[in-house]
Amino acid sequence: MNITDRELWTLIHGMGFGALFLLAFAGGLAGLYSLRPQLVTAEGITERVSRLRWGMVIMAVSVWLTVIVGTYVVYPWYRAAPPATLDTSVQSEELSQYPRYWLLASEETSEYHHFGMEWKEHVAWISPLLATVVAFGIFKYGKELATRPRARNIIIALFLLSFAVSGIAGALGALITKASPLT
Amino acid sequence: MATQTADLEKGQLKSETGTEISAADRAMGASMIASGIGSLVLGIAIVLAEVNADIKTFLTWNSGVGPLSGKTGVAVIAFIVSWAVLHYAFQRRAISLTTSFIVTLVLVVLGLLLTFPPVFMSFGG
Repeated sequence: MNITDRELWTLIHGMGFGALFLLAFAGGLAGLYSLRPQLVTAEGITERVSRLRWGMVIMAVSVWLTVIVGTYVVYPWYRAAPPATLDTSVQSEELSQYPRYWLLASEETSEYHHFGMEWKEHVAWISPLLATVVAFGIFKYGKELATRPRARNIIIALFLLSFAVSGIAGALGALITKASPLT
Repeated sequence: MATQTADLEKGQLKSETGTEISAADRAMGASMIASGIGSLVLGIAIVLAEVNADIKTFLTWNSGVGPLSGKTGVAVIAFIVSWAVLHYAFQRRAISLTTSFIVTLVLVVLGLLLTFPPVFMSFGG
């Protein structure tokens, strides 16, 4: 099984940091939702808040790494321009090394770029902003979250929004990679 | 939007109705609105790059990444700077957590809309 450098970094971006964020989201959401005095003892709240704090830091760091690696490592390979001698109106095997141009060479695949990548590359950056606020909120409120349902629900709402945004970016990325993988 | 006067000795802000805004609420409010500002700045940068070639060139901070580097760069800078400014501003004059959340949602939704290709491409004509 041969994996190129470009394939490896694409994996790190999507299946590594991206998947780590999604996993941390699931655990974080369950932890936040259950942070109620009627569900957990005082000792349990202390234990859960401690786990939530560090879990949310991991989550926020992983989503930042996802967008940074995606933008500064993977994306330049995606948008790299082919040599002037290569025909960019035909989806040739040579052009497949330049995914953006390969997708644009056919009406059947051009929307993967015009819609898919154009949305993904921008919207993804909103997720780490929200994730950072979520992690900050958990550190700031700490155990108080168990007795402050409004603050807890607001943090959960921002958490869900961050997940939804990254979900959009992830889904579009999967579709684009399927249509024109980086090799 | 409810605003409250400072009561520095107690470390909390009190409204005329006596509602207190805790230090945690003030800090959270500042960070939330900052994330909304960052999101909106991203959206505005996307539209500006779409409609103006000079701005698109200006936002090309990294040749490999293209204008995306500048668009996201200004958004992150706006997030950090506005967070710092709001954090200090809310020490003296804060809004409730709920109001902060509503403001945040409005800003984030606007920013999200402007990232949507049919929307920002419509500005380019």
